[in-house]
Amino acid sequence: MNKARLEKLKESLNHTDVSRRRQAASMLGEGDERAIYPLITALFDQSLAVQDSAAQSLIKIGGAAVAYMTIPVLRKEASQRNAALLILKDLGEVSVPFLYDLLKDRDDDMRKFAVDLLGDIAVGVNYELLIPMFKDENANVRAATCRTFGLLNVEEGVSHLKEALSDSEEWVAFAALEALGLMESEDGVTSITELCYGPSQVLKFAAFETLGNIPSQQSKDALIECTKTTDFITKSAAIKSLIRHGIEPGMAFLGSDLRVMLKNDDWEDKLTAISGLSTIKDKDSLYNLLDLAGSLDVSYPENEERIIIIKNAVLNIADCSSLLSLLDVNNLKFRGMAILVETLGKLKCVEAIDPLVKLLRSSLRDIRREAAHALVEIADERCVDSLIEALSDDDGHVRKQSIYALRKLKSKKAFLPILDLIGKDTYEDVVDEGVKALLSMDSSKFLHKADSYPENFKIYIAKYAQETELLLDLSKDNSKTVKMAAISRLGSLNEESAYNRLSELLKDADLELRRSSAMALSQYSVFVDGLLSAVRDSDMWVRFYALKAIAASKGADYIGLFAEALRDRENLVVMGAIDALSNLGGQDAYEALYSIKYHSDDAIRQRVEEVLQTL
Amino acid sequence: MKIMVVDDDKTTRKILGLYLKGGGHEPVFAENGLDAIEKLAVNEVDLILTDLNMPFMDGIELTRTLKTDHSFKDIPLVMITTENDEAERSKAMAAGANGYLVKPISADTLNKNVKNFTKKN
Repeated sequence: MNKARLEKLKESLNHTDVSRRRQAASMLGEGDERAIYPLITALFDQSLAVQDSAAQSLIKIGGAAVAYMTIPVLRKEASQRNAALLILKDLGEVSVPFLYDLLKDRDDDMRKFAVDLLGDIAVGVNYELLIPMFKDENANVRAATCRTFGLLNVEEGVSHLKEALSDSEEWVAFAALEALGLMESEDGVTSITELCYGPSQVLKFAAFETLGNIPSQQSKDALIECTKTTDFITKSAAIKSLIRHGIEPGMAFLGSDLRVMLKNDDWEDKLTAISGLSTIKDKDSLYNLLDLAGSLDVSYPENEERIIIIKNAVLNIADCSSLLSLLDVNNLKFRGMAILVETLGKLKCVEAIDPLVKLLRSSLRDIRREAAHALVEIADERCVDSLIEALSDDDGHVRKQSIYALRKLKSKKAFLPILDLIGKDTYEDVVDEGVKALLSMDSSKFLHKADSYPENFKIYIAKYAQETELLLDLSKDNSKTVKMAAISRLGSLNEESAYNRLSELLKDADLELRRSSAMALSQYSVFVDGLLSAVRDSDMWVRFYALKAIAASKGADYIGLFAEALRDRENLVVMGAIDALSNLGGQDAYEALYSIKYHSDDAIRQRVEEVLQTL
Repeated sequence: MKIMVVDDDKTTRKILGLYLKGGGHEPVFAENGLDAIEKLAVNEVDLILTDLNMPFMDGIELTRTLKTDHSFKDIPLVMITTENDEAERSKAMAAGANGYLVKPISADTLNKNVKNFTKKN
């Protein structure tokens, strides 16, 4: 920066307009050491914006001269002092030698600032010069020294920090604890443990927390010991620390404390307790856990996640007998009961069949649903009669679940009741499930009268049946919807007769049937001769699906067809042809695509350009 | 009572928080003046304890800002700092602080002061 410009900017620092002053302070950051003094002066500007710009510029210039000239600002007013602290911290290692001089300053705060900054900078610091600060007459300086040794993480500081744990001032001991925790100092465990039995509740609490930060068996043992002797508030800190260490299944003695913690208002405590109870598999907590889940209002999003956590804990802790004993507890809230029932199902508790069957008659719909679902999970022959009875439940979900359970059991006894139910059920998903069940239970018996079934039965039969002849018949059904359902299955059969039928359908007068047929062939990548004429169909969708089917099956043999389709009048077909050629690659594909590089449609031009770049 | 602790030092926030909890209060924490103002918008507090030296907005600036704001001017604000200096104390009081406490402070002293400042209010 030349002298004239520097002088002009210095002058602007005194301008009446704040924005001019701020701008000048900012631009001086481009300068050299000659800009330092004016910028230091600007730290005292009445505008915070100017002060801030000056601070940033000083940091930008950097170097020992800035550090040297910033040190005296620490003695000024709060605003300038804070700016100086920020500058010295940001300058880093270059500030360090100037801070040593402050360690012997008469002003307590200067000594504290110096110690704090040395900890924050933490690079190139000679910690030995800081050791005497542990004995400083001012407690704030002693506390700052503890913090700084924690940040510097020097082994040689541990003995001093241990000594500081018995400082007459609680703040110093607290800072020493924090530092030892930060350093994860195993060497400090014995001294920290002594504070667990001391008179100060705050230090006791902090000691427990600190032991949680030191990953060693000794600190874990100390925490276990401490949990036996302290009051509840500090004990909960010890338990949290133990859980951080990872408690073991054998620590059952924590059960009662964790159950108390579960009742705390604070959710962090509750979640810690749930995690601990789950680890030690505390069966005595099952009622409390279910009760807690039952009391949660699911309209709050965070409660959904909490319910999942509780459900997982219950599943981990419970066994069949402990849950069965809770089924008779009358005051369990309904959601708690629903989780209990769900867990019985997940654990496949055969002993729970009778009570679950009883619950299938419960007045609460959600409980009936869960009971049906649990019986599905258990899937035992002994629940067949009850499940058949549940087919007449008022709730469609319960009926569907019962059908599902009976399907899993492949119970022939349930065949007629299910057939009877789906003949009159108003819910399509129940009919769908019913058809699936009947096909699985006795396919030939069910399909024996297929012709006489209503349209919706036939649609679901077309969706799930495996018999080629039956599907071929259904593809000729009087109902178009049934026909289309059957056509979409034919492509998946890998049978020549099925493919012949689809080929034939590609020439059908009905547009929708041609489309369904082409779509079925494209979905399963089947090639039939009929596709070669379908690419010239009057309907763009038939042409599109026909191209897709050919591309997926015998693409390389019919590259000419795709080249021809590039000139189709419909963009959809052109895009389909571009995709097919893109997948094929090679010189012929490139040339075909290049021929429409200047297509009249923007989207097609762009797509061709993209593909050409990849070929 | 809900009490806001404004301090850039984590250890100070923690120890003051434990003291306040021990006195039966609920602490709310902020790292500097700007953070405090943001948190005051969503927390109704009965008292503010603020440090003097903090980056971004120091204790004096925070005091001035709050005492000139209609919504916050009635919340008692106590400066709590390491600076045991009469000049600093005068500046804090001139800015509108209701009290000035010097660190380190014991739990008893803190909670007695909390009681006094909230009673006056």
